[in-house]
Amino acid sequence: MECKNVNKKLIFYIDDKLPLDETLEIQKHLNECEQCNAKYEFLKQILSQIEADRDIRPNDFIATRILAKLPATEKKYKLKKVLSPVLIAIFMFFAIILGKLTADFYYTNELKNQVEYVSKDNFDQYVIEELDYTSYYYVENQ
Amino acid sequence: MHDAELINEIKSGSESAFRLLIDRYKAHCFNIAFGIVQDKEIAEDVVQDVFLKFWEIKKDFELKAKFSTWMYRVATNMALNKIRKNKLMNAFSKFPRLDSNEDNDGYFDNKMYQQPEVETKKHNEYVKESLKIAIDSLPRRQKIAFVLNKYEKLSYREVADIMEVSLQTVESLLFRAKENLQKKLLQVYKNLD
Repeated sequence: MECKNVNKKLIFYIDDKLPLDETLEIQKHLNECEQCNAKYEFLKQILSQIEADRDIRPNDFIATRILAKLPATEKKYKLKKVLSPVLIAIFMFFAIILGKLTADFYYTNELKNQVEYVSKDNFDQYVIEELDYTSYYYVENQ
Repeated sequence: MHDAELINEIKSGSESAFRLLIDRYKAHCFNIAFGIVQDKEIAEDVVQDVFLKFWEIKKDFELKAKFSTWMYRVATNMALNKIRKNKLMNAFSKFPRLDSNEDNDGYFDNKMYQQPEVETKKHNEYVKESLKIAIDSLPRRQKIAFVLNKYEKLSYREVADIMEVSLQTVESLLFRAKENLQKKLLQVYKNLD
């Protein structure tokens, strides 16, 4: 087997995933080729790091840490559950109040404008105009 | 006590049963998370998030379902999300690019060898870092299959169940993952010469 082919299969050789005949061929090549053998050793060493990583363990107190987070999570959830309808009700209440205040404001302004129009200075004129219009309307409809 | 019994008790709010479940699975969950994020503290955060998630959805968890399958699936997704968030946070720093389906060869080569401090690193640390970057640079699905198989020693069948793909797909993913890793690691070797 050529070096190029061996290099393509080294990881599978390390993993023992090759058919027996190929495994034997690579084994033979590695015994004879120093360069390929060096690559094989390098690859094997790096991949053995995975086994070393598997020995790393999480903190012994991780269960305690998780359990300590539970009440907060639950409380938050319950609070959220209770607060949602209350918040909606409060929002609706303020929306209605705001609507009413806005309507009152505009209504009062309109009245004020009318009162200003029929102020003392032009009251007589207003009454005459109104009377004229009423009498005109009355005569027209007769 | 079987998982189903434990889960039944957890469903009714038993914290002691929950602690037992955590103790039973924390190492498995950690292995998967570590394999993906390659950082102890972040992996512990993932473990914490996975179990808190289970507590949150405990009432909806189907007893017929296998807890370990659910856990591996959630741990994998959460670990990948952590990486994505870290990537965003470190967009302008040295955190490696971890794009799922991109060819990361260019990045890998530049990242490893254009840093002058690489030469001064201790050999073991360098080896560790090389493996970490090589795994990080694998496309998403290849990485998941590789980590489940190598870091948790799960069979191809189990990996297929967790990833919800066929056995053939897992075989193909693992084959390509190993090919890619070999290519990247031999590049490291070449640059050491």
